[in-house]
Amino acid sequence: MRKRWPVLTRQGFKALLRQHRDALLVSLTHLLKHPVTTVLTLGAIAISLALPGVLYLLTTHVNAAFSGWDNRQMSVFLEPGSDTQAVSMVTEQIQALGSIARIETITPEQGKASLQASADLQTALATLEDNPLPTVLVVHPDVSLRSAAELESLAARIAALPGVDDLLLDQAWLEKVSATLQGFQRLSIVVAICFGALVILVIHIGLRIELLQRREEVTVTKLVGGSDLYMQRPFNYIAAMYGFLGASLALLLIKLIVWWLSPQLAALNELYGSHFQLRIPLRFAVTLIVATSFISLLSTSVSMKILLKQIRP
Amino acid sequence: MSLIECRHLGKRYAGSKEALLDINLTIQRGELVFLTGHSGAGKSTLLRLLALIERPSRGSLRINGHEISHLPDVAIPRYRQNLGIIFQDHRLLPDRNVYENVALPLRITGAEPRIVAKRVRAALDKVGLLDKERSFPAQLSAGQQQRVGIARAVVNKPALLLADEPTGNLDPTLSAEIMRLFTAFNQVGVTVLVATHDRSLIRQFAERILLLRRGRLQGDSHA
Ligand SMILES: Nc1ncnc2c1ncn2[C@@H]1O[C@H](COP(=O)(O)OP(=O)(O)OP(=O)(O)O)[C@@H](O)[C@H]1O
Ligand SMILES: [Mg+2]
Repeated sequence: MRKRWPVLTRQGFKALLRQHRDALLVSLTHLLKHPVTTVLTLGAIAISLALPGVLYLLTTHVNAAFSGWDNRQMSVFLEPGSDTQAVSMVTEQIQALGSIARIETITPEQGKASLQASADLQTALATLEDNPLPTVLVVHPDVSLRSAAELESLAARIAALPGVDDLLLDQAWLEKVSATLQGFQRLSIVVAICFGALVILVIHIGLRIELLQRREEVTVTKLVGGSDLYMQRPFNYIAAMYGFLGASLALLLIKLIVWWLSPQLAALNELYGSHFQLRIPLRFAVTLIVATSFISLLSTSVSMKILLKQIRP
Repeated sequence: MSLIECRHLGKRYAGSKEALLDINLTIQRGELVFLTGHSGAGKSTLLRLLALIERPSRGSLRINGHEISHLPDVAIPRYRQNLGIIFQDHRLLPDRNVYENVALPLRITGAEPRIVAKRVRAALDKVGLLDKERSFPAQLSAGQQQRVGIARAVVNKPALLLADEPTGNLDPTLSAEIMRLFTAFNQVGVTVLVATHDRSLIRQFAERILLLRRGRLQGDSHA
């Protein structure tokens, strides 16, 4: 009845600590008393995070794998059956066009060997009697060639050379790959947002049911002088724990999925000669845990504010 | 300074006619006051205004000299911590034992466990239920449940006790027992305001009677 400013005295601080300890205890007992709800909620959060998480990690990593690639290089496919003489003639002619840093030659045997390294392709190759692969010249332009127009004009001139069957400008398909990857990355964010919203909704509905069941307790607590904050605290702890544990479980799931995908990733590495390893970056893990806990806490506290206002003695 | 002071106090629930009209009344510290009147007279409404469960529609309501009709929502918990409220249906929490039910108002304030234990036992002792602290509400009789409710209301040592039909569910003997508890608290200086229709209780215990009729204060008499 006397008006007092909320000065935090030593005693007040101790009381606050006790209130928090009580709230923490209440929330822990709540989680343990309702193991099914707890596990289901954690599972829902973990799955909703793991799916977009894996998608995001995969696209980021594949993107990184390709970024080491010289995207200005072009693959020149010679006519099938070209002999060594024909190959060196074309090589010289390309060199003569200028602006060439170096040219690698991949013979049909080398091509077959590299493909055979991939277990999945081995069986496919075994069915082929002859080696159908053409000789490929990998042309690396030098630094003087920068613009796409210059690259394309060089490519056109190479393609016109006798003995050349086909030409693939890596830049073009790399750009396609990169655009596709970016698309997937955006998709993973959209999926994350949708799932996130779903989880928030589920938490809100869960809180509503919980509060309706405990309506009498909430009312009585209000009547004997409990503030909304006092009643909210245990729920805040529950939310933070859900966020933390759910995100940790999601990381575990992601790890599991990555492990399950590792043969496919290894095959990809062999095909493109890259050496990337799909690991969960620490920053990703920390961000996932912190952001999930924070969002869970924030949405719960907003939900509770709204719901507690509705319960009046 | 008087503890409660109403001036032209009125309450009208949304979409309803006036539940209280132009109430003028002063209650001093340490009084034991009965609030009576027919059903629908506005007894509960007056108590609900005092507990800030409802806000007055007009007039002024001063407690301890402070106007409370416009007390901000965030200040209400603090205000209620200085009140003891007793209900007709005791409103104990069924999943907590007697001790924890009585301790609730202290837990809310984050009181020291030592103090909680001391005050809870003192309150249970006053209502004669010290031996029931581990029982659950469902294991108690109606009279015992109401006494636990009273222990919970006084555990914070409030200056003002508000009781709305505290004996409504009890037989005459138990009702008298509950009333004797109120007079005992009153004798140590607690101001008590009891709403009831029970004429025999009023005859037996009343010092001052406020009679409400259709939302108006019709009588204010000292026994
Ligand atoms: N929440 C509410 N909304 C609308 N009208 C209400 C509300 N509560 C009470 N009233 C009306 O206000 C008037 C006074 O009601 P109140 O409950 O204060 O009476 P009472 O004296 O306590 O009656 P009783 O002896 O039956 O408990 C009645 O006409 C009642 O219908
Ligand atoms: Mg009433």
